[in-house]
Amino acid sequence: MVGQGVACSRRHLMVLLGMMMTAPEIGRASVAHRPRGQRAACRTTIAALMLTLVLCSPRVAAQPACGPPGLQQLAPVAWGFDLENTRLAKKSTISRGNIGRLTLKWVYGLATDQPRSMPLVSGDTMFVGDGGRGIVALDRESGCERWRAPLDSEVGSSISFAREAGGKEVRLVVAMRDEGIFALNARDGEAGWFSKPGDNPVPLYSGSPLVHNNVVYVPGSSLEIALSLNPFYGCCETSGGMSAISVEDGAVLWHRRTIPGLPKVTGRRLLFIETHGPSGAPVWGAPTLDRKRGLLFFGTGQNYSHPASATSDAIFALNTSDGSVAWLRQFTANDAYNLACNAGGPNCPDPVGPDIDFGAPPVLVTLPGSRDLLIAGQKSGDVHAMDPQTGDVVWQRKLGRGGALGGIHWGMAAHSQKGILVVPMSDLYAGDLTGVGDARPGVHALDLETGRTLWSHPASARCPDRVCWGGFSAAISLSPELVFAGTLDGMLHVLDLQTGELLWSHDSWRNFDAINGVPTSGGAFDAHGPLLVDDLLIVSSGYGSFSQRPGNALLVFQIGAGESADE
Amino acid sequence: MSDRTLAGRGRRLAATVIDLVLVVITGFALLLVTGALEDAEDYASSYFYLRIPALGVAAWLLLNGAPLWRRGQSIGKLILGIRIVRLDGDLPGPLVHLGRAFFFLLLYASATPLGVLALIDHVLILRADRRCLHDLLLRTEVVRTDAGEQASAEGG
Repeated sequence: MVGQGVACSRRHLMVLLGMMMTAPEIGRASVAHRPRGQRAACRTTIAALMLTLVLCSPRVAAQPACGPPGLQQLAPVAWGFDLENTRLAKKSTISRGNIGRLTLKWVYGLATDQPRSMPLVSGDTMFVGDGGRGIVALDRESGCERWRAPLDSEVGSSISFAREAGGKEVRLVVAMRDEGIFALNARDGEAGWFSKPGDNPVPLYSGSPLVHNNVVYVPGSSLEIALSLNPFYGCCETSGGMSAISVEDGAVLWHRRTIPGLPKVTGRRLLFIETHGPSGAPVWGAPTLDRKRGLLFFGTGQNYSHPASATSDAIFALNTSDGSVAWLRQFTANDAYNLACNAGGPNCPDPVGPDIDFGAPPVLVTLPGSRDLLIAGQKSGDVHAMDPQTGDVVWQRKLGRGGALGGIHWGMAAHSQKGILVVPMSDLYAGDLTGVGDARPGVHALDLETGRTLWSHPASARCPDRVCWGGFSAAISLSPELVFAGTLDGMLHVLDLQTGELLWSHDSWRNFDAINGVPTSGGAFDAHGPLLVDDLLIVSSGYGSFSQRPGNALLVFQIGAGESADE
Repeated sequence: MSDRTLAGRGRRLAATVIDLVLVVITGFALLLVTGALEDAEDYASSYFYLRIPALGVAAWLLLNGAPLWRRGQSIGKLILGIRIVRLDGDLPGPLVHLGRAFFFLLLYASATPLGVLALIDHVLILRADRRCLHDLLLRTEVVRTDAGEQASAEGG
């Protein structure tokens, strides 16, 4: 759990008490002139004070050399750059005209080889989820560490924020994946409230929280997908969910389970172990907010056990006021899968489903004719365009063979005014859970109005030098003129938004000389994908979750920057 | 008790292997019956994993508690015809058995830094008196149960 400002624990205090009782030989020189008994007492006191300072010091390691962070011009407002998850950075100044001058500015070595936390950027600072080191505030120009807030678990989300009354102070809101949601002061990293919303005893907060109007919307997944590997586990009984909590104190405003009813005992094996269902339908993608209709959209994953529910592999629309369901549309029924299926364990559902969740957040767009569409991309490789008011399907396209690792995995992007939807396709082989049909890894642009293909940029394989799959699993991003997309074999591409022409590439499949001195290497581009702020392109390279090449490189590119960070 | 014959190293090793396997099997049986890790609630605490060594201790006690107390023999030692005795030849008390159990359970942690202690413990079996570290610390040795018969046969 996040510490409440200090690291002092009961164990530390016991050690302290022991010190006081045993009079250690510390501080000899400074107390040598005192009588023996008095010296011993004094030494004890000094030692105790020193230990107190060490153990009970605030959990924020300040770096005064870099100064405190500025909190103006914070971006992005959400994982999808905006509340509608278009992943269009409207204010990005990276354009077709200057893309040739985009070069590496500096590289930071993260403390994880599967980073999945997207930074938050102010006018002079980057707030970064740094694996097991917690959250760090880095100087935007130099990468110098302004402060570090140690955490007990890795950050698994983008870093959201809310301005406090008066607008000067900023509260960062972050999901610690297997712990909960916590807030901290952006000025110095001091810990604030902690919240663990939902009714799941083994929650997994994989999706990024969305902050709007003093409410934090928190997606909920479940550790049960992995607990199912234990053959003595009676899979499965938890439900995914969405919670709304107060940005002021983390109090839960409402919680909506994605499986409405409670699980029932569905069977028994080895005489004692009771199995349960329905379960699953986790939410591990960021939600999408429709301010006009007061709706919150999100996709769900598969069931973990049978009987399958009518809410898995579905798009939900909740009323933001109370979390009630406005509409719900399931696109794949009877999809039950958990990790026991990979290991041949007894908890694997029979029949096993294809595991084709909605991980990519739905994208809400307004077409040039003022018509709104909600567009969802599925791991099956399908794109579904819906009426956001009713959930009725307007058009559908299948762009790849899909599978458990996508298909459309982490996130699409859209430019409403230009009427273009850009879809990254992974189509990575996933064993028995590989989809059917021909693989079409690449980036595909569709007409938002009709779903017609405008252009396609096929992925290229670079065998035998590296993994032979250049699919696009990571979320992609747009500037007003360009598409930024990373491949599973470590290439970062920039394409022309109108034509798909390849304009710029960077190979991150190598070692880097990081500014923080940490051994740093790039790998697969996956998860949250590139972030665009002003003339910066920020992206982490490496993601070792599912046999992709791991890596820990946080790459910061800038228009006109030198290549000095290269090895 | 001058006719005590020290147990051979092979027998002691075989007895230990039998005990290791039996404790694991019994531990799984206990896991099954108690449902200690069967529901999501069981994993809610950060310390849920402590249930695993706790089940191991329970399994060891269930299997070996009574035979050790009454005869100085674990199941493995019973099968292999050897027993634990104090240096004066008497049966050890329960505290001695608990101390030995600690070293026995260390074997399950061989892949951790504690494994070094387990290794040191068992390497000492190569001493002439075949006493491991736990024997030295707890003033015990392991002897054959048929030593009396063997001595008689040899004498006759």
